Amino acid sequence: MPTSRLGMFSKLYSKEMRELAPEMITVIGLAVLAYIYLFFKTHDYPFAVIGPVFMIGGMAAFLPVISSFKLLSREWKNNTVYLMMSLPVKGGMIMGAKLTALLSEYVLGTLIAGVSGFLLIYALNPELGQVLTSSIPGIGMKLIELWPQGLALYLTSIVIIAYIASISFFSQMVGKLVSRFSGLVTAVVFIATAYLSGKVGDLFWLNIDKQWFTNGINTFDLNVINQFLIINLLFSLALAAVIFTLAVIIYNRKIEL
Amino acid sequence: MIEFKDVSKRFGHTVALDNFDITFAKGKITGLFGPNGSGKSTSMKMIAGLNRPDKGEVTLGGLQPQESKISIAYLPEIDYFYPWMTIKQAAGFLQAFYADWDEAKYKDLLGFLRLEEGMKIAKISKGQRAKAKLLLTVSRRAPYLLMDEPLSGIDVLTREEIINTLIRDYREGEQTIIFSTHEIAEIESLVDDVVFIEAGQVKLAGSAEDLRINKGMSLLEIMKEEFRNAN
Repeated sequence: MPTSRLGMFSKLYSKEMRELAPEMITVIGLAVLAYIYLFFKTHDYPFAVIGPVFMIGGMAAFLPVISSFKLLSREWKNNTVYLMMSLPVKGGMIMGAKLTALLSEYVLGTLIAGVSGFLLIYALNPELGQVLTSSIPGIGMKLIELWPQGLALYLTSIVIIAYIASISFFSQMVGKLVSRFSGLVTAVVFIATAYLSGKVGDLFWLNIDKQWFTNGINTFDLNVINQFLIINLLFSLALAAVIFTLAVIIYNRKIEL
Repeated sequence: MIEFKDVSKRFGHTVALDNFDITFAKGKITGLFGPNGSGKSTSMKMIAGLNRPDKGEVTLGGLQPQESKISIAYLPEIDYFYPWMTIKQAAGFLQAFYADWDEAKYKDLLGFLRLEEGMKIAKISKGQRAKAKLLLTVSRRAPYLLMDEPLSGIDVLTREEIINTLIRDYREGEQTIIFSTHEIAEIESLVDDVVFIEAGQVKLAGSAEDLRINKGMSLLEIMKEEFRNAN
């Protein structure tokens, strides 16, 4: 039977999604139940719903970070790493499938929690429609017209999840290189990598013309804001790619059973 | 042909393989025998590309293990399938990676081993799990078949089924099989060649038939004598 790289990736991705299913169902189920409860209980204080909706959205957004640790450590705990490592594929595909599944978890969770949360807020606060469609004072644009910037921010958030997941994979790979205190090493490497990559980010932004950016923000120059969002997105993507590649190199060259 | 050229491997202070130097002949069934901790599993994992030598080299038909994974069917001692998978899902998973997957053979063996596709790995007995592992490993037409302690902890009847499956399925001359175990009696009749290993070194190796004739003993008796003398 013929095999293809895409078919292999698809099998690995489906497997990872199945591994993530219990957490995803739990969070989405909790979000839906909480929203139903809030819908019936906050009629008298419709604005009170905003806080819990953001909390639930935050929970859905944070879940992939926790899952990134579970997804990889479970392979060792259940000995399924023997199966993974004996497959005729490299670490890039194995970890790529895990990363794609984590990003799917993020998108699915935030979209379900976000869209249903928005609908809940809108149902309880119909005046929200006016806020979205009326002109913002001093800017001369409607909030709804800023959807491309909103989309860019959402894409950046996906890249940030990829960046955190890559740090998680990298730190776990380094942790697996030692036979003792593996968990401690993982934690230390995670914090150190996050700190160091943050410093790289600081260095990068130091070289960006601050005046150009500050003026652009103060005058709400959409061109400057768009450029900032794109630079930020690409920089985060590059950082995530570097850390992910390091994790893959360790998996391919150093991990042993 | 699988070659170990002066391979050494340590795990911390423990020496797993110590200048291990041996060639596993192509197209034959070789028994890798030795007591617990002698280095059998380490050498099997090394062939499968799951660990690497500290010193020396392992090759399969001239290639590194990492480059040969497509040709290797490896059955480790531990349960390594996802517990939530059914046998059918596990088979479907493997099918995507190996072009040598033989669906007809899989269906045939499924019946022979009295397993069902809907059986969930986590919910079947240990014996059934061992049979499921065997089914999923030998349903491929892989040139190299590595079996690490496939009979460990399995009842006599299931052992017989596993051995019968191997005998039934073996393609002489085409498939190189290495059978690692410390339970020789059951597979004594199955092996062409034997390698006795102790403390990571080759203690005795050769044709099973020649050894039996020369020493006038069964392989089990030879192993007992070799390792008793060593102690």
